[in-house]
Amino acid sequence: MKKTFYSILGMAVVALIFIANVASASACMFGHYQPEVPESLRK
Amino acid sequence: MKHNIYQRLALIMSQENDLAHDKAPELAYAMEILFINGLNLLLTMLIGYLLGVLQGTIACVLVAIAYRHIAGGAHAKSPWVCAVATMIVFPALAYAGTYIAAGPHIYSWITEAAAVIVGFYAVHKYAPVDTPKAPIVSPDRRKRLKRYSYLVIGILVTMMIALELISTLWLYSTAIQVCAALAILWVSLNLTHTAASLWCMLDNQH
Repeated sequence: MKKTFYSILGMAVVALIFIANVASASACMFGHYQPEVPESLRK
Repeated sequence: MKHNIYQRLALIMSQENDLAHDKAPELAYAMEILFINGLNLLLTMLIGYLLGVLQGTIACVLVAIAYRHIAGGAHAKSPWVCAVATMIVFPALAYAGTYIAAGPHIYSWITEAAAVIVGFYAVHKYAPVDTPKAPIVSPDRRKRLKRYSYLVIGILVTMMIALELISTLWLYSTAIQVCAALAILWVSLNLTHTAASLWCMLDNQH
């Protein structure tokens, strides 16, 4: 059970990092609010 | 230092996965984007459905996602102002688009022609528009986003022409075209300095 939880958590982390990179590569997302882009993703 | 809910969750996730120090803010950023945009989308669709213009709302949102994603634009400082504005604007555009499409065809053509002219002009003059929270640092990236903005607006115009060609086969296509045209006008307006002032004014009301 714990192993499954950690593997799901790992996949979620990979997906979130991917989303953060895709979002930071564009000018903005569709919404009218822009959260602060982390320094490591500014380019 | 005070952390918000996304930052706290991201910190836990990065510790559990032994990630590098700079990955936690990236996780928090992704979670914030997903939550805010997901909630906005859901509520916008719900309002569109309740107003009976769900198809038009979907068209407006898809156009805005494609165009705004590349060209950027003005933003609200508060997520709540953003949520309320998004919930109102896109179903309202869809409602107006459906209303215009139901009238004489000349009004639809005028709206679409205006969208094409204003869209290309706004991209040429302003795109890409960044914000202090998400600056476009690299000049190469700025040039690339400008080129992609032309491409996106070109694709959207081509799709509107394609919808015009099949308007005899699919009755709702005129409404979709006008909704898309209004969404192009809205996103183009958001590229201007006037829109930045408008959002600033709305933020100050909050």
